[in-house]
Amino acid sequence: MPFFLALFPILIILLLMVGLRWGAARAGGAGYLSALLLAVLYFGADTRLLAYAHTKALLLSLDVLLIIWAAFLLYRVADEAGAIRTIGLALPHLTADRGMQALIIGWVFASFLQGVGGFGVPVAVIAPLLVGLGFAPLQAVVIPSIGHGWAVTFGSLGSSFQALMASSGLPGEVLAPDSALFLGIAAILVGLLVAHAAGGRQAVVRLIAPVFILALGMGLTQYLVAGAKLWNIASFCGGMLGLLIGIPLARRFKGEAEEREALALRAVAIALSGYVILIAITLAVQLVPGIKNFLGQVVIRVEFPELASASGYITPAGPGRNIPIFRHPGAILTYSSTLAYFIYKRAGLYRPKAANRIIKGTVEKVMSSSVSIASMVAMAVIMEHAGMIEILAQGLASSMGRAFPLVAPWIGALGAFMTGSNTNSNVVFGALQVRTAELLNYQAALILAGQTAGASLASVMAPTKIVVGASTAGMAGKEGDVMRQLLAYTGLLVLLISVLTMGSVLLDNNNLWW
Amino acid sequence: MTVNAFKWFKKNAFKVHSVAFLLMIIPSAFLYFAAERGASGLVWVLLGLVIAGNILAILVR
Repeated sequence: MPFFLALFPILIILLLMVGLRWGAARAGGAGYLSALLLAVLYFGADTRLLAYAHTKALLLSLDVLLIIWAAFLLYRVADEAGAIRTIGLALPHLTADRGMQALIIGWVFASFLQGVGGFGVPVAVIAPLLVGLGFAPLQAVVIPSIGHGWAVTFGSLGSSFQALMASSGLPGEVLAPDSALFLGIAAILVGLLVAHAAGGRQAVVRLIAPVFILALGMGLTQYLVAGAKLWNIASFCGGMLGLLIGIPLARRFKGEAEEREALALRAVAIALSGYVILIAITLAVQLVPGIKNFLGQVVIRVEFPELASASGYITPAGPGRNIPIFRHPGAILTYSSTLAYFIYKRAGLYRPKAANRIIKGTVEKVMSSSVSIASMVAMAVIMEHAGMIEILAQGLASSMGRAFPLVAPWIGALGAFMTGSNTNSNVVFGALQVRTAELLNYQAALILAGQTAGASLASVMAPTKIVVGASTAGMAGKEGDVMRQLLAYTGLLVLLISVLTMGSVLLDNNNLWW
Repeated sequence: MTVNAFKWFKKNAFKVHSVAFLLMIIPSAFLYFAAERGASGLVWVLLGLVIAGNILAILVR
């Protein structure tokens, strides 16, 4: 009985989003209210516990939202200047080979876009481009959908990974290597599946070499950058390197030449400058001690006392999430957005009143997701403090036992599918996965790598993303066809993560559980 | 009447979401101080505001 009551808020979100097709903001509100009611009426949460839990939730929400807001601001600054379109239009110049076009645009460029923007942007931008190049609308939606999945966790300038750190309470340097490794390995399969979606088995065989070269380049870059504590630009750097490797590779697969307008290299360079600034500022803040210390002087830090529910669950005393306000990834993104704005403005890329449109567009776009993050984070923190997460973890540990590592990525995938995002999935399930791993004596970082990699790859299946992608490729009303194709591809990818998680846990424990 | 209210919420989704978000965020900061002072009445009032924010979010179809 306690297990099902503890599970109820999560089931409510699942039912409302998948069954009744509610948006994340609505379902998050319902999940929050049900968690609050159950915490008070059944799990013995008093006013003191609830009050402190809400303040902790506020800090966690801000930690994630600062990045989401600033990441979308940077995307709007570039998009308003036409930079995204310029880069997208330059890519077909590289090759007329359809398989290679699918790899470069639908996989590499999609990963780059996920690195800098996210929020469904890769599919929305790329699907119409592929249709314009002669791909069938279904292919045009499916290719970028699969293509960007591996880059979601470290994409959107690290917001999903920030959520994983915030919800699990583990530092990034512990979590990043395993998560980046799983996603890097998945990138190989992603490339092969993109080739398959573009041209079937023949394309897979023909393009196996470029797939491996690109996957190795992008995956390794993401791994190294994330390992160097630069997780907010890890996926972005992977995508950027993919574009750099992709140019000479594409020339080897030229295909039949088509007549195109001459490529304006200066325009492409200006378009990319906004993102070069981001790399420069991030590196400066992280690697130059003087700058790092100067910007890290102001920190929002709140100490919380030990909290106990009436049913006896104790949360130890300790600080909440620390937010170094001027060194936070959100702040770095804001500095980059401001500089990028002035560069684009100086290059004459903005129409009058561009700044107003950028700010208005950003605020309008992020408000709904801000509401859903605030609700879901509060729900997760209340559940954690009332002991509901502990009960769920104990139930999962006893029922799944040693097979839990196989299941962990599917929990993440389910969370991403039902909430529409890797970030939300990490918020809802991060603490549960850590606690279950602890009960089973598994390394939490491996289980969380499975959680976030599963969520990353399955987030492309979220109904909201599919609706956006289908509408931009003229597939509105045929979302079911897209979902059917994606289901097979995504299922394979999450299965791979499942096997990787189990294998890593076995290697880590150095024993065979069967 | 109810249908009209839902239509209004849908039409003004951005404004309603903005109010809902502020109701979720601002009282959460003050809840810390209310708990530190042991003011349980004030905690309920502030929690009521957060709950109202979540109810508003649910009303936007």
